[in-house]
Order: sequence, then C-alpha cells, then structure tokens
Amino acid sequence: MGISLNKRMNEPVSIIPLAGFRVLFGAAMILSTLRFIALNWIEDHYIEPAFHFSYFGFSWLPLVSGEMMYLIHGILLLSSIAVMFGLFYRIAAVVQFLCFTYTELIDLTYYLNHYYYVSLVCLLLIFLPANRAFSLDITWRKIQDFNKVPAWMPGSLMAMMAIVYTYAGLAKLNEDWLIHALPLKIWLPASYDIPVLGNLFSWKYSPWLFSWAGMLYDSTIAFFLLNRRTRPWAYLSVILFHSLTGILFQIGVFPLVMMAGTLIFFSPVWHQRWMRLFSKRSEKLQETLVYQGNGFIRGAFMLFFSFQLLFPWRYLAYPGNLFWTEEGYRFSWRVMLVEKAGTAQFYVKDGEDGNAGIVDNRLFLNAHQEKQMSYQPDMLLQYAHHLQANYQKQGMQNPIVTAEVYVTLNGRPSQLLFDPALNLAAIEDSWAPKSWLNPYPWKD
Amino acid sequence: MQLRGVYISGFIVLALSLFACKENGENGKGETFNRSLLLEQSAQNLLLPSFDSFAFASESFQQKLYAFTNNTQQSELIACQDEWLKVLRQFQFVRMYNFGPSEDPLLGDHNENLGTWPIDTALLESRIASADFTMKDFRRDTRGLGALEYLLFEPQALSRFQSNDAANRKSYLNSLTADLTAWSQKLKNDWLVYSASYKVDAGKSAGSATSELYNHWLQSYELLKNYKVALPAGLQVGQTGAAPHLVESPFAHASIRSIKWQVEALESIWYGKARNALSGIGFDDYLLTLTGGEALHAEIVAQWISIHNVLDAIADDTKLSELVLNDPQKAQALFTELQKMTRFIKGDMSSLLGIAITYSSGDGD
Repeated sequence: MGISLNKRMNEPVSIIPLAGFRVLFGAAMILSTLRFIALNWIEDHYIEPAFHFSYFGFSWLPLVSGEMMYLIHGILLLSSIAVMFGLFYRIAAVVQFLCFTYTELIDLTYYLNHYYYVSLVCLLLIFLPANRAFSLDITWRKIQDFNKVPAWMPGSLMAMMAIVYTYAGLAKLNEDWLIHALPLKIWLPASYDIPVLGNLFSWKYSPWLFSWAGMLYDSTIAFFLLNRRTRPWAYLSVILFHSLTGILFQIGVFPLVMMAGTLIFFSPVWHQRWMRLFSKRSEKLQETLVYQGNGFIRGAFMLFFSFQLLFPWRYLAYPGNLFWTEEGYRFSWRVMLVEKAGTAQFYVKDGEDGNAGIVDNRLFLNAHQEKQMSYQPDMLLQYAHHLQANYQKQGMQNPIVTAEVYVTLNGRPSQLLFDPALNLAAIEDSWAPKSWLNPYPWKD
Repeated sequence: MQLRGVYISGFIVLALSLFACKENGENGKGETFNRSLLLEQSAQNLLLPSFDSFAFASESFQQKLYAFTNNTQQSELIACQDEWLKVLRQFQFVRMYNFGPSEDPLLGDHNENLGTWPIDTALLESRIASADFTMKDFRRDTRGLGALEYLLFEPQALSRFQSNDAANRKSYLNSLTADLTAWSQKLKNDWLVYSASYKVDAGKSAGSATSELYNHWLQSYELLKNYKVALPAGLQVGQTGAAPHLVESPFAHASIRSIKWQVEALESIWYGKARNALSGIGFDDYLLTLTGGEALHAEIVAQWISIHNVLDAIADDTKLSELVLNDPQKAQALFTELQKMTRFIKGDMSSLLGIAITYSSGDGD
C-alpha cells in the first residue's frame, strides 16, 4: 500500500490544472488586495489603531509606517499580478507570500480562516512549478515548459482544499450546530429581507436544514470533487453554497477564493478550454516532458501536511469547552461556527490600595479590535498588559489591571469569563491551559 | 452538454425548494421582525420630530438671543437662559444620531461640534479678545452649547455683556448662535431627505441603517456612562477623586437634567416611544421575536427601571458638581446601574439581533 501510494504520488499528471490554479488564485489575490485598498482598510486596520494585538510568538514583528504599509500592499498587488501571469514567478510567489503574511501577522484582530488558507497556499505556490505552463516566463523569458508534473504537486493544492473543507465539516459535529441549529437559528432569520431567498431563510426549519446541509457539504465536498463523475454536481453545489454564504454573511472574498480554488480539481481538458481563449501555447509541446520534483521539497510538503492534519486537533489536549476557552480554536478551520460576543469593562488601579478607575476601550482600540478582544482570552490578556505598560509609563508604580468580562455564546445569557478580581497584568499568556478562566457556565 | 443539464437540474431543484418553502409559509414560517418598520417608525416618530424640535428650539433661542444682545437686561438674559435649556434638552434627543447627514466631512458630526465639554474658557476669551468668530476649526471646545452656556450662565455674564467693550463678546455670542441654528437647520433638512433611503436600508451588515442606528445608540449610551457620569465622579482610570469641573453643565447646573433627558432619549429608541409619547416599534419589539429574546428583554426592562430608581433619587436641580463631592455614593450608584446595562445591550443583544456591532466594515468568516 505504501509503495502504491508512493507510486501514485509520483505518477506524472498534466501540469495544466496547476497552471490554471496559479492564474485563478493570482486573480483572486489581485481582487482581494484592490478591494482592501479601496475600502480604506489599510488606514482603518493598520494605521489608525494605537495598539495592535500580536500573534503568540510574533510580538517581535515590527509595525512599519503608514507609507510603508501602502507600499507593501502595492508590492503585494504587483507580485499577485506577476504570479497570475507567471512572470518572474518564483520571486513573485516569495514576495506575495511574505507581503501577505506580514500584513496578516500585524494584528490578530483580523484573523480569518480564509486569510490563513491564502497564506498557506501562497507558501505552497513558492515550491510548485506553476509557471511551467501557460506563463509569460515561458513566452518571454524562454524558460523550459513542461506538460507533466508528479501527481503530488497539484495534489497538494487539492489536499489543502480538502483539509479546509473536511475539518470545517468535522468542526460542525457538535450539539449546538446539529441539534439546536445554532448559530444559524440566530443568523438566518436576520436575513429574512433578502429578495426571493428571504422566504427560505425565515422558514422555521431552515436553520436545521442549513446546519445539516452545511455539515454534510463541508465534510464530503472534497471527495465528490475528486471523483470525475460527481465533479460537475459537486461544483454546482460549491457555487450554490458559497453564493448563499456570500449573500448571508459579510465574508468578503472568501466565496470567490473557494469557488476559484476548487477548480484545481477540474480536468486538464477543462482548464485548457478557458486557457485557449488567451493562448494557444499550452498545446505546443508534442513530446511528454515531466518536471522532476525535488525530493527535499517533497519531504517538506509531507511534513507540512502532517502538521496541517494534526494541529487542528490540539484542542483535545486542553480541558474545558473549546468554544468557551478558545484554546486551540484558531488555525483549525472552524469557519462561521459560533455566534459569540462579549463586553469587557477594564479597571486599573495603582497598587492594592489604589482607586480602581474604569478604562474607555475606545481610547486604545477601534470598534473591530474591541469586539474581538471582548471575548477572546488571549486578546484580553494582551490588552491588560498593554494597559499596564501604558499606565506605568504615565507614572503609576504598580498598575493592577482587572476586568469584568461577560461573554455570550450562541445567544445564551452572558456569563463572567473569569473572576473580576484577577490581576490580568500578572498573568502571562502561554500554550498552557488557561486555568484562570471560569468553567463553562451553561448547563443547557 | 452534460454539464448544462446538470446546471439546469440544479436550478430546478433550487426553485422547487423555494416554492416548497413558500407553500409552507403560513405554518412553517419562523418568527421574523420587520426591520423596515422599525426604521420607518424611528424616522417618522423619533428622528425627524427630534431634529424638528431641535431646529425649532434653536430658532426660538436665536430670537431671544437677538433680543438680549440688543437689550442687555437681566430679564432678557433669563429668557435666553430658559431657551438655552430647551435647546440642551432637545439636543439630548438628537445627539445619538451622529451618522449619515450628521457627519460633516471636514468638521465632524454635530455631537462633536455642538456637544463638546469641558469648554476651554481661556481660549474662548482669547478668541473674543482677538475677534476670531470663524467657528470652523477643530477646537470644538470653544463653540457649541457649552460655549453658549459659559457666556450666558457664568457668574459675571450680565455685567460683561453690559460693559462698554462688550461688542466682541456679543459678536462671539451671535456667531455661536448662528452656528447652532445653521447646524440645526441643516440637520433637519438633510435628515428629511436622507430619511427616504434610511427607512428602506434594513440590512444587518455594517453601514446599514439598522446597524448605524443600533451602534450609535450604543455609542451614545457609553458616552453618557463614561463621560457624563464616570468622569465627574472621578471613576475614570488615573483620577484620584471627583472632578466637579468636568460636569457637562458647570454654569447652568443642568448636568443632572441632561443625564435624565439623554436616558429618556435612549430609552425611547429602545421602546420605539415617539416624541409625542405614543408607543411604537422599537428594539424591544425586535428582541421579543427572537429565540431567547424574552429573557433578555425582561433583563433590559428591569435594568431601565433600576436606572430610573437611582435617577429619581436625585432631584432635577441637584448640582452634579456638588453631588460628586458631597454624596458620591449616588453618582457611583448611577454609574453602577448604567454599567450593568452594558452587558445586556452591547453583548447579548447584538448577538441575538445578528447586527454587525462594528462601526466600520470588516470581513468575518
């Protein structure tokens, strides 16, 4: 079986879907970056906030000036164009990965699963020869074109997509989602006024229908996309599913990224059809030329996928309810899974005998940052440490930072996340379980 | 050809499922709330009448003010002061609508331009001395209702206006009043036009009218709690004691009334209670249609009552600047009750309503 798998992974397959993916992904990146700039989010997300929440282990990452941030987005745009056209591809892919990932790592507030996916795909593309067909590197720079690559190369992009979907489906196997139809019972009726579909959203049983359909879709779609016979139906459901979620939720370019990304599963013939509209080049090679993959890179890919398969399960190592503690929640493809909100009133006093004064979060955070911080324990800690440093700088000897944080989950009445008397400034964040959090409060 | 067949079949399935849902409409329809109706009523019963009343009060004030600047007698000053109080009251009913046409791209919204405190009286006096009446910069602490209050209510107000070199002072007062009426008229007219699109913008995403109304309502509530109450009470971080000079109305001593008016205004949006006191559609009705909404509704109603109980124990003519020094427990109690509400209306309610709580747009997943 091992030999058989190894053989299948190295089996030469058409390079065309890989090149097609490069073009479509590059186009999606261009649209996404242009949209980000047009919505003034560089200013709103990176320049205006006085404080940024860093990712665990990345607090060393420097925040560049506003002008530099615009420049980085400009470079990201150019590199995405270069990736799409396959021009100076390898360098462009590296630059694209570095620019995009840097902008994501600046502030944890804006973490999104699909941004994480984009970052990972950017990384994979660096090591895949996606410019060895249908590219300007071949036409203009005269690099050698190939018509075959080892199956693991396009397969890695399929595997990445399959992990996203399947893990998102597995995450939905919980009581709230399947039995109580939460949070869709909250979200769907709120969209009752959407023309035509509104009727569907406000139907009493729709939350259950959508919850189960969503779970089944996510859990199985990758397998149906892999199968040639079921692929057209599966892609139709990809379009329907992501169009629906795009209408229902404010999820930006995510539907577009997934609708473009899933085309990696399509046949070379299908990709060649649309490629012919732009170039006849992809049909030029008469003999079979197989791109020989590097064994080291193949090994690195296997490590990468082992990590991707295991890391989402780390939540099992933590006690307590995942949705309450959020330990192991991120980077696990838990997409649109819970409706969660909180209110966080912080207090700071100078020493045990000092007067506890209230903090107006708006002085330090924008609305988006405050919303995210108000229910995520690691962000609450980071903010507490920031307040401590800030008031120390203002002359306090020993700032003690406490907070009254109420969190609601899937519409349940909000409860205290931890003891309001705790000095958060004295607690350091780590991989260890957050034993300072109250136990999951609802008995249901 | 085969693919086309697949697509056609898919659309037939979707159409059938929609048809099936419609057929089941009467019995199968879940509870929904007509947000358009909420917006319609909030515009017709609250927003537009409030901007009308504010504009009317500002005009009446302007007339009394002209009378005073032409005849600087105590009776005229008192008439002015009475009208100013009416403007202050009406302002509490419009200050939370600081979105849409309320935002001047250059100067900011009406709440910032007319409702900023404390006033920098030294700068204001220097502007009077240098005859700077432009009112078009970012020093909002030299204009608006607070600046008018200072000029009309400070202890030497009458004598200063009666002195021989009061020309600049009168001009500054006239400029402040002209600025106030210009804002109030513009708000009234622009909101009348804007209300047409406001009423139908019933989506739930950031930037929709529902989201703007809800978020600015919340924001206004927080400003009331943190700045009208906590700041003078000395409850903000870094404060070592009460700060009586930071009350909203230090010269007219109308801070307590202003708090009560703003609470009334915020509560009327929650209940959808019209300016003519008739009951209408509000966020309370919205909440009652949602799963789990009844319990939260009861909590919020009970908390409004608790807030009123604390407020009722403070007489209207109480000087907040004295209360925070002499009876700080009452100010503390008011803050505590206001704070208790935040959890319900900011966290729980936003979750149940499914409305974007951010004031600006952003993606989720």
